Amino acid sequence: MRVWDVSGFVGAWGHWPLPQRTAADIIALMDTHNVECAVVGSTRALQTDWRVGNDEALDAAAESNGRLIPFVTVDSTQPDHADLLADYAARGAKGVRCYPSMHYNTLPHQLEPVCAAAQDSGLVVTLATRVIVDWSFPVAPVGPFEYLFNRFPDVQFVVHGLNYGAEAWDGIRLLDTYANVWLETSCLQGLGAISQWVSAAGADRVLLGVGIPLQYPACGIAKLEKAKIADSAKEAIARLNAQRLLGEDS
Amino acid sequence: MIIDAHVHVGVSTAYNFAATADDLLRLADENGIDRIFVTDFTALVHDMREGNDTLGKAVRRHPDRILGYVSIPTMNFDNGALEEIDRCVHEYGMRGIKIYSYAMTPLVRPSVFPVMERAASHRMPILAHSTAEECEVMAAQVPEAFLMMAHSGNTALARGDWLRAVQAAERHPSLLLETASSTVNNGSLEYTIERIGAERIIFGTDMPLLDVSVQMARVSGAAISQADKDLIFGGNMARLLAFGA
Repeated sequence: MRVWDVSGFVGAWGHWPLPQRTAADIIALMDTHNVECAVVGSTRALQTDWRVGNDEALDAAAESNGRLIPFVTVDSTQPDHADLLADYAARGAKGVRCYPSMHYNTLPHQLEPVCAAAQDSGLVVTLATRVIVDWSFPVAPVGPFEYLFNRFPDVQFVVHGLNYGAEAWDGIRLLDTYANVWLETSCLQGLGAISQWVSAAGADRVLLGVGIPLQYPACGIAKLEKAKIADSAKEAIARLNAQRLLGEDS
Repeated sequence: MIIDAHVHVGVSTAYNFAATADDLLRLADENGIDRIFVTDFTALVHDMREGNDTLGKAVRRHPDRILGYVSIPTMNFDNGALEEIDRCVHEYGMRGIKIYSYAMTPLVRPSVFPVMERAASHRMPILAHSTAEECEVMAAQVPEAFLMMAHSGNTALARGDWLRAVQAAERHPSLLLETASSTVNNGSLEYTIERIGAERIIFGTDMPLLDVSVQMARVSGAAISQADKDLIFGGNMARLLAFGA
């Protein structure tokens, strides 16, 4: 199965010894697991210098022969989002990732300028409740940010990081309630969870997330390969939905 | 042989799962798992004897597929735990013990050590949902017991600190690390093998909470040798339980 990972990263990682850190390393890992494309955000932008980090992600993508698709990460307290995101979009960025739990415990209203600028530039907005499934990292509830989905109906939002139990149920509710919300699967570890999402809300707005290279690619792919859903739904989740969301389906 | 060392039977309102022994065996079959080492959720949090009896009957029905943990609630360590261990060994042939630490009810207390000593006397491995710090204390106090740290630190309770779990295992040869977790940090298994070897890593899935295919892929998809995968998937547990001996 050829897959796209909508939840990838590029850059160094200080939390444990990670085998891959360069774009070349990541592409080699993608090749090993038949990952055709990865949407990547900068680990530097996530944790330290978001301007330098975004430049690194954009440069890595520009040199990847289309294998890496860049999303940027911005400091949600900065006032000049509109200009910044327009510039990033012009340089090839397809979306912007927001990490409320990692960045100053961001309040919902602080993301309004980001969403407005993303709307103007045609960028997808990823709202991450967690970076990866790692219990040493903070987790943000998605509920307080839901009003953004209504406030910006023309923005396509990807909710990133939902795990098992109540979080997985929340995912079904979000798909049912908001036509502009998509869910990714990188942290969805409950038994049969993809099947539950698809049977309750369809496969059209479910995206494969792997978390390459921070999470084992085989794990993220196995949960889709083994999911008890139609092959057409698997193909949509594996690749086609991401292509449609990112305008890469022509 | 693949042995899943971390399986729950019963109903959990806290974790939103429900599975009978037959449900679990179907899941095992779908994923190529030969034997499942099971703990009963009722025994762990509600009624120790009722839950262990329910599991014991399943062990009797499927002696070649289901291995039983005697589940002991933390507050029962000095309220009949030793007698319950002996009873479940003699009545049902249970092979291990499951204990559980909570933020407000930690495992490490004087009454846990006799439980560990009894486990050692029966050659029963102990699956402990616990932290690295607690496991270090327990392993130091009763080094003759085989202590398996459930989730290898990848829990909220243990702050996700699997590196700390590896450090604990480095210092205590009787401490083993069990793999089940929703955390699937790339490189973690390779790093663990580099530090403590593959011989003290035990495969588990935490079914029916976690997706079995993800837990299988964590081992099968890691950049480690097939020999190490074989040890983790079942060789180590077979050695612990002296299968074939």
